[in-house]
Order: sequence, then structure tokens, then C-alpha cells
Amino acid sequence: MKSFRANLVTCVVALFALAIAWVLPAFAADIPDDDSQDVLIRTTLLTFNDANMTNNYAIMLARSSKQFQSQFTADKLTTAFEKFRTNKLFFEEVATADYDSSEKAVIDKEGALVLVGVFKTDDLQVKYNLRFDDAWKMLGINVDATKKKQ
Amino acid sequence: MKSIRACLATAIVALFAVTFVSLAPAFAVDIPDDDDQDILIRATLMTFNDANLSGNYSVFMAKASKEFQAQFTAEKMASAFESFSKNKVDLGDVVTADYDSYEKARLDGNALVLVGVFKTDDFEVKYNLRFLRNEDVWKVSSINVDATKTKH
Repeated sequence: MKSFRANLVTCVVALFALAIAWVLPAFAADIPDDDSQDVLIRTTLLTFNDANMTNNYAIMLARSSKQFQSQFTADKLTTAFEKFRTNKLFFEEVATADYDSSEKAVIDKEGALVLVGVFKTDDLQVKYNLRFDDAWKMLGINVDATKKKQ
Repeated sequence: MKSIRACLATAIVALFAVTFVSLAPAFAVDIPDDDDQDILIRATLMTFNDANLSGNYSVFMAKASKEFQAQFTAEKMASAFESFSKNKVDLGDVVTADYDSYEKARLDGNALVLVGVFKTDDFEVKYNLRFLRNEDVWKVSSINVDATKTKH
């Protein structure tokens, strides 16, 4: 088991902006159609990947929701996602990769759109769990990238 | 004709890094396969789109070839692509859009040239991208994007 694990490099990072209002939905969002969900997922992951590739989180932050911006700085993101850079867990292939699986989109109790699924590229398995506000700006990101055994 | 034109918003910007070696390739390079070309095109246009929507070209610059970086600054880029930024031209749909047409990929000296057109619900997006090999990776050496709002 240990030798098997040694072949894998996994990196999981979750950053969720805390919702201030728990009882009533903070947003009144409708679920976007499948095509729009697909665009949201891929563009968000590509922006995240660009940030990791360049160690520059300013644009990812600029494109995220106000709630996310109020809780995280570019420096905090640099620290949080360090393992993606040091392990070179980059996945531009997500631009065109097929979904390995995906859950049905839901609006959670805080009114946020939640998109969850898995991509498989030639080198990586990329699990994502993304949350968006009603303007489809990112509220939270959780990405687990695992290098496949060669 | 004028009224038709008034319905269209076109933004065309081209930034070309001068290629110093144009006669003979300094080393042999292969054209990437169709899948890799597709990734290069969409990823490049998404990085470009992020830059326009945020008004911050630092990530685009960092991902570009050293030849491009030697000639342009993030500030120059911001000025060159102001029409995209100012008009909030969002090309995000390109990531999943079908190609309307494209030319066969070719090498121009050491540069890989990828040219084509996407059509989304809102835009016709013509692109002409050139890439140079830097440390075994294709990196942007020039970008020319023409985004025209389609009539509804």
C-alpha cells in the first residue's frame, strides 16, 4: 500500500468564503443550463491553473466574489495552493478534457450554486467542488489533483 | 450599411513579437497533434479573457514566450487591449464553443501558427495565434483577436 501511495501525488485544497447569513439564502440563484455550467467549471479551473502556473493569484482573486475577496488575499492563496506549484500539478488539459463524472448541480441552503465533478486528463485526475454566487462569481474552491500512475 | 455596422462591436488587437530568426529554424520542431492544438488555443484565449476582464495582464505576460515578454509589458498590453477591457467583452464561452472554421496548423520558421474562428451565442471570435518553443513548451509569441458581437 505504501509503495502504491508513493506513486501518487495528491493535493487537496479547499477555500470557502464563510456565509454570513445561515438561515436565509444570501443569494437567489437559478441553476444555469448545462452549457453554462460547463463554461463556469472550465473557466474557473483554468483561471485557478493559470494562477498556480505563474504563482500569481491576483487575477483569480479579481474574478472571484466579493465574499471571497473579503476573506482571502493573493498572499494567502499563494500559501494555500503551494503544493500545486511545488508538485507541478498543472492541468490546462481541463480546457478540453471529458468529464469522468459529475454531480447534478444544486443550490445549497445558502443560495450558492454548487458544481462538483471529476476530470481525467492523460496525467491527472482532477476532482473539483466549486461554489458560486448569483452573479456566478466564485465563493469557494476545492480541488484535488492526483497524478496517475505511469 | 451604416445601421448594420452600428449593431456590431468589433475589437481587433494584434501584438506580434518580432521573430529574430525567420529564415531557417534553429532546431527541429514538430506540429503538436490536434488535441494539443485545441488545448493551446482555448487555454490561451481563456488567459487572454481573464486578463481583459480583470484589466490585469500579468498572468498573460508570465505565460507568454520570452520573446513576447522582451517586447511588451503588462501596461502596454492593458493599453493595447483596452477596447476589450472597457467594453467588458467576455469570451468565456469560447472554452466550450465549436470551431466555425480553422486553418491547418503550420510552422513559420520556429513559430507554430494557429488560425481560426469560434462562434458563440454572442460573438464571432477570430484568432491568429503564434507560439514559440521555450524550454520545451509552446508559449505565445503573438496574439491577434477579432471579437465581433453577433446580431440578435
